[in-house]
Amino acid sequence: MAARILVLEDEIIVALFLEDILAEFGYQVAGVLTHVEQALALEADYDLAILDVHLNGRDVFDFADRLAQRGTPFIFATGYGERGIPDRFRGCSVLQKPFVPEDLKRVLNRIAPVTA
Amino acid sequence: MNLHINEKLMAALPPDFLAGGGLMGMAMRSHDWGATPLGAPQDWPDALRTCLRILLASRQPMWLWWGPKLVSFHNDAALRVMGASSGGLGQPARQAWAGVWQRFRTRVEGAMNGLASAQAGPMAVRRDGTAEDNYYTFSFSPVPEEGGRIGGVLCVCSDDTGRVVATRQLALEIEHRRRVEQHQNALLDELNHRVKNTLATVQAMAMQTLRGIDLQARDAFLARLFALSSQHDLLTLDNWAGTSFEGVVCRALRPWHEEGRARFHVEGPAIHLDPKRALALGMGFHELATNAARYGALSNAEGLVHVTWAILEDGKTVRLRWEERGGPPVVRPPRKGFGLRLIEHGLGRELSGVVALDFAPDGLVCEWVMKLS
Repeated sequence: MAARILVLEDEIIVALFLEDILAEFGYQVAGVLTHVEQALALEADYDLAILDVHLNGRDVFDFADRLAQRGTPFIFATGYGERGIPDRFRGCSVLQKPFVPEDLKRVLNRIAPVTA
Repeated sequence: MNLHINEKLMAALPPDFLAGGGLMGMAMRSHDWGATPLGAPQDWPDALRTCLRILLASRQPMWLWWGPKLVSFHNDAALRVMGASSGGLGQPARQAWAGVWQRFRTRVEGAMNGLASAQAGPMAVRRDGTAEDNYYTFSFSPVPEEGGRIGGVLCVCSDDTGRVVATRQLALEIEHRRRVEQHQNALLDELNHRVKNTLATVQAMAMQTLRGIDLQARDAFLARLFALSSQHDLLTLDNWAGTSFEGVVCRALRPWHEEGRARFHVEGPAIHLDPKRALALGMGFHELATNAARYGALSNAEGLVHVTWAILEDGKTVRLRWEERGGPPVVRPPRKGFGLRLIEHGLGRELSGVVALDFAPDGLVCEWVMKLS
């Protein structure tokens, strides 16, 4: 079964685009959220998360900490690039926005390959 | 008899070692030394006389404490530091220096035991009716008498206020600059982030708008967008201070690099480019490489691209050459597309340079000459 992916992205056009390409790659989109609070309140029925770093004025790091605790993999997608990520997340996947769909596909394949 | 009169006369005249010395010299000459433990000046030891000569002639603030009771002397320059009158002259140090004696006591006593030392620090001094902090270094030196016994302590003071204030101002200035820089970096980070997010939105919009309509147009557009974004990264890394010529070239050509195959030969001296030139050149190389991938040396398996540049004799002009070899025979395009127009006119204008495109049959050659600043 395809991995279920949660998307945190407050730019709605980018979120729609992510939804489309994830579906194209054969993943399921578990949900698209625009606020960190929503993510923190959500029950964990997803296998992986793609995280914009700044959502409506709040950074996503405490949610990322929770995912890390829980053992749920995640990918940062950010305009800041790796420079904007705190040291404790060193080694996590970071996609510099804008990225080509193939870059995302490569990272996803490494973390959660689509099984036919 | 005569001799006796002369001695009396001599005793009434001020001794020559107390000559000069302004206010304090005057005070010393008229002081009733007989009432002090030192007795009359004509009986003072040579070491004390020499010290007083130096002290009275000096423009450096000086103090002298002499004998077991540490009888005090100081010069006019010392008055500036103490901000006091001639009070204290001839008195034991612990009386004369009552206010600050505790601060200096160990050093003075140490010097009486032969140990020289120095003490630096601020001192509130009343000048022109206002109290201000001044910085002084006091150095205490033992003064040996004939025979080696320590007769007294000479204290020389240097005013460090100017240096200390200058150092403090410099530190403030450095701190201020650091803050400005920090603020600037934060702004740059924010700007970069916004540009990137905007590019990401434009990308998403294009993907959605062109979905299923024109794949080729979509890909060409995305490639240009990424070329722009990627050159932008290069500038971001250097905080918009500009970047190297080679960095721009390599980054622009990266999408066409192939593992284990040399498709590019890049060679030239180190040149620093400002952001405007770097971005324009990066986009130019992107278009040249795109063109080569469609029609030129990058469209087959054998082709090679030589990118070389050199600084001309005036030191301010760069000549850059893009030369394709080993591609299919070149055919002059019937119509120049956006890419070639960007290279020919856009770069020419933007970089105030001259661009020459030569559709030679065995490989496109593009040469442009531009000023560095």
